[in-house]
Amino acid sequence: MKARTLAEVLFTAALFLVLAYAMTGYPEFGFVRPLGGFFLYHTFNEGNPGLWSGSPNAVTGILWDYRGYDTLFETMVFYIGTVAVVIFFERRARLRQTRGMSMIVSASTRLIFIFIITSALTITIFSVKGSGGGFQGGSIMAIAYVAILVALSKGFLPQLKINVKRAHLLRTLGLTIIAAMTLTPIVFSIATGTEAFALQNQAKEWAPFGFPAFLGLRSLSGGSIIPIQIGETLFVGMGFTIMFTLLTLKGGDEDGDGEEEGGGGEKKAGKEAEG
Amino acid sequence: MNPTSLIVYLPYILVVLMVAICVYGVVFKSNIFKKILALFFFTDAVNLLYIIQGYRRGDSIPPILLPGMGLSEFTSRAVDPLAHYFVVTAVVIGLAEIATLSALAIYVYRHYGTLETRKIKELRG
Repeated sequence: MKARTLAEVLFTAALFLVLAYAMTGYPEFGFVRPLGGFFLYHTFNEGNPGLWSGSPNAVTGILWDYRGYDTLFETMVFYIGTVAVVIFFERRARLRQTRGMSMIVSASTRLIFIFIITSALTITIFSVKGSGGGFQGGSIMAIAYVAILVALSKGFLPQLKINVKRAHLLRTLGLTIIAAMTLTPIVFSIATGTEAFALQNQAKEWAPFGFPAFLGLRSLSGGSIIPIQIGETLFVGMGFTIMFTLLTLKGGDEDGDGEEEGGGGEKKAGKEAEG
Repeated sequence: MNPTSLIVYLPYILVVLMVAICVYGVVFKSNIFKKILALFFFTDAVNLLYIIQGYRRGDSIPPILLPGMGLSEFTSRAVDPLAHYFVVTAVVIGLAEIATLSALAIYVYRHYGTLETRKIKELRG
C-alpha cells in the first residue's frame, strides 16, 4: 500500500512537471489577441454596420451572432444531457403533495421565488447592455427551484405548481423560440427571393435581411439576440430544474416511502419493470 | 528565470497544479463521487486557463461598450471577449455533464450498494 501511494505521488509530480514545461510554450498573458480585438472593434461599430452584431456587450454578440452556430450546438449538447437524466429517472417521476409548511414560510418563499425569477429575466433581457445572458439567467432560474427543494421540503414543490411535465413544456417553448428566430431569415429568404442565412441577426451587404437593431428603446438593442436569450433562459432553467428535481427526488427515493395518495400505479409498474 | 517572469507564469503554474491534482483524483481515487468532483474541478482549471489567456494587463475593463465610451478607448482597454464566451458555455455544459454523471453514479449505487470501485470489482456482477 505504501509503495502504491508513493507511485501515485510520483505520477502526479511528474505530470505537474511535464505540464509546467508545456506551459512555458504559451505566450505571455496580459495581451488581447487579434481575434479578440476583431470582436471588440466590430461588435458595436456603428460606422461599419455590415459587420456589427448590434450588441454593446461583446460576449453576447459573439454568443448569438458571430459564433451563433457554436452556441446552437452547445444547446443541443445540453439538450442531450437533459434527455439522459430524464431517461434514467422519468419513469418513476411523481411529485407527491404533502401538507407543506406554515403560511408564513410558504408566503415568504413565494416572494423570494418571484424575486429570483425576476432577477433571472432581468439578467437575460439586459444582457446586451450589461453583463449576463441566457445561460446565466437560466442557471439563476434553476437556483430558485433548487433553493425551494433544499430549504423547504420536497412536498412543497406541488404547491408552486411545478412539475416535470410543465417544466418540459416550458423548455420546449424556449427551444421553439430559438428555432423560430433561427429559421425566420430563411423563411424571409424564400418569401422574397433575397439572400439570407440561418441565425442571421443584422443585415449584411450581400444579405439584406436584418432584425431591427433597436427595439424602440436604445437600451434594448441587439436585434434577434434578446428573444433568443429569453428562449435560452427558459431552456436552460427548465432543463436544470428537470435534472435537479429528478436527481434529488427520485435519486434518493428508493424506499418509496410516500404512496399515501392516488396515482401510484405508474410508479409501481415502473419499479416492477426495473426489477 | 528572473522574478518578474516568475510572477508572469504564476497563474499558469496554478492552472497546472489544479490539473495535476484533478488528474490524480480522477485516476487514483477509488470513490466514484470523488472522481466526479475531480472532473468538475478539472473543468474549472481549464476555464481558469481561458480567463487568464483573455486577461489584459493594466487598466482593463469588461468587454461591454458603455454609453459615452469611444470605440478606440474600448478596443484598447477591454479584455478578450472570446475567452469569456467559451467559459460561459463551458460552465453550463459542465454542469449538465456533472448532472448526467451523478445520475449514472446513483444507478451504480443502487445496483452495487457502494460507490467504491475496488469493492465493485470484487463483487463481480
